[in-house]
Amino acid sequence: MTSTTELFPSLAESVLAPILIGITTTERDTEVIGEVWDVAAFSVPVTSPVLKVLVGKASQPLKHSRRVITGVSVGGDYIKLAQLCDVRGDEPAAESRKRSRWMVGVRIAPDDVSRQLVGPDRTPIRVDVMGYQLQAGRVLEAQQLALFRHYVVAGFQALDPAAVVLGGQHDWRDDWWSTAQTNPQSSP
Amino acid sequence: MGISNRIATKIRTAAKTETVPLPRPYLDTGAVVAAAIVRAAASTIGQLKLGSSTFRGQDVLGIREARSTYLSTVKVSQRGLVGWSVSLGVLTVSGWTADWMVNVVVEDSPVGATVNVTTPATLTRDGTLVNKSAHGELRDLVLSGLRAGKLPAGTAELAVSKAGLAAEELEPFYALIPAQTLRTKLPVAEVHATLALVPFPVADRQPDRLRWQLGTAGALADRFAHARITDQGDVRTIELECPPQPTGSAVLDGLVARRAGALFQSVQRTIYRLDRDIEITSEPIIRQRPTAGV
Repeated sequence: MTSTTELFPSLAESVLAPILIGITTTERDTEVIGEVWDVAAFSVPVTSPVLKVLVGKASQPLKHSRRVITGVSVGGDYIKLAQLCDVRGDEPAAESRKRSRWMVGVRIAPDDVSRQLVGPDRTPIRVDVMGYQLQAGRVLEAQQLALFRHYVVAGFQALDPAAVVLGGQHDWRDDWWSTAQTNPQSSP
Repeated sequence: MGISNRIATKIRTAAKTETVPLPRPYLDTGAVVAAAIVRAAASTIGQLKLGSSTFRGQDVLGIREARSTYLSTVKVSQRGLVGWSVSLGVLTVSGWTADWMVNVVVEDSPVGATVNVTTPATLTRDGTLVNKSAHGELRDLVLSGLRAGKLPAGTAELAVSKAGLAAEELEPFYALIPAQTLRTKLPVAEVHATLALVPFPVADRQPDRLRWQLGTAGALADRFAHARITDQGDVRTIELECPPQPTGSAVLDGLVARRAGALFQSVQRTIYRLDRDIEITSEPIIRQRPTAGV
């Protein structure tokens, strides 16, 4: 018998590792996933980094709004995407997405192994971190990522207390978000 | 010197294609293993203390390059379930400037999986690839991991993850917690059935009142928002409120405010799906901004 850890990464403390969630199958699975996703995205607090932007030939500091933007994955393997982006004013979302710090996707995993892992009569839902940045030995904006993942799992568990959750980090501790006195961005 | 450097770079960045023993079927298990191998390799490179320069062009003495060198960033993006791109560089005012980028693409076929590793973007100085050791190490880690065909130890991934959570983050925006009133023609029973789709744990459910827990961990587990449902004959009103309890911590107050806002939005969406004529009125509760960092 193959163990779960051989089939699926059990890195419970990694904010990058995939999460596999099994919820009791209903006709509204896609609607439920969409609602949980949008709630988790909006729940992540917004911060205000100051980043330099080009104005003519000179660069100037400009306050951005760092928040989670959701979207639909057109023609891809994922139902919905969520990106932590540095939003500049009222620009279109497509522009903000170019300044993404991390991106997470959700999909219904139709494969036999996922179904086997979550058990019968459950829909296997995979949450994958599809984009991320590392600097100085750490994941950038890990707090927002951890919080988003936590809210996604908490949302499914609220709707289905019998939900099965396997894989990466999905808990939350308040002391993970300590505030910086100065802007930690090292970008020029 | 320049010519031999260029030849070495060409060899170093040459495309490599080989069959790898990833678990099959690929989409069932192989893709999960391949993604873990790329994460492990990128995390290992992400732990190196590297510098990348925003300067491009001739710089004989290297002064301008040194002046414009910043801590390198490793950027990883996944393409579907078969491709990954790992890039080392730095973010500038003009966008991302890469020292190099490595693409990893796995092709699945009935006879097995094949990996193709390429280096589509490179920056060289005097013919030598910038941060060439990191490039070589990443390529080797990806290829050796895929050749082993099993989940890696995950040590580097855990280290970068824990370090990320231990780092300081910016203070969130101060946000107001609004009180909202919704008016709907849905019967009370249908209002309750619809609100069951709001993804928050229910703390208390009464015929005229519903109380949600804003979270399941930390300070949010002790914070609640509620809905008062009143039947007014031809219309039902749903009054949503999250009583303000400033904690003195900008982060905790930010968490509560966003979470309450997300709950109210979710209630609106779920009711709106069945009643497009829903009326919404918001009355923001203005309160004193707590002292940051307390």
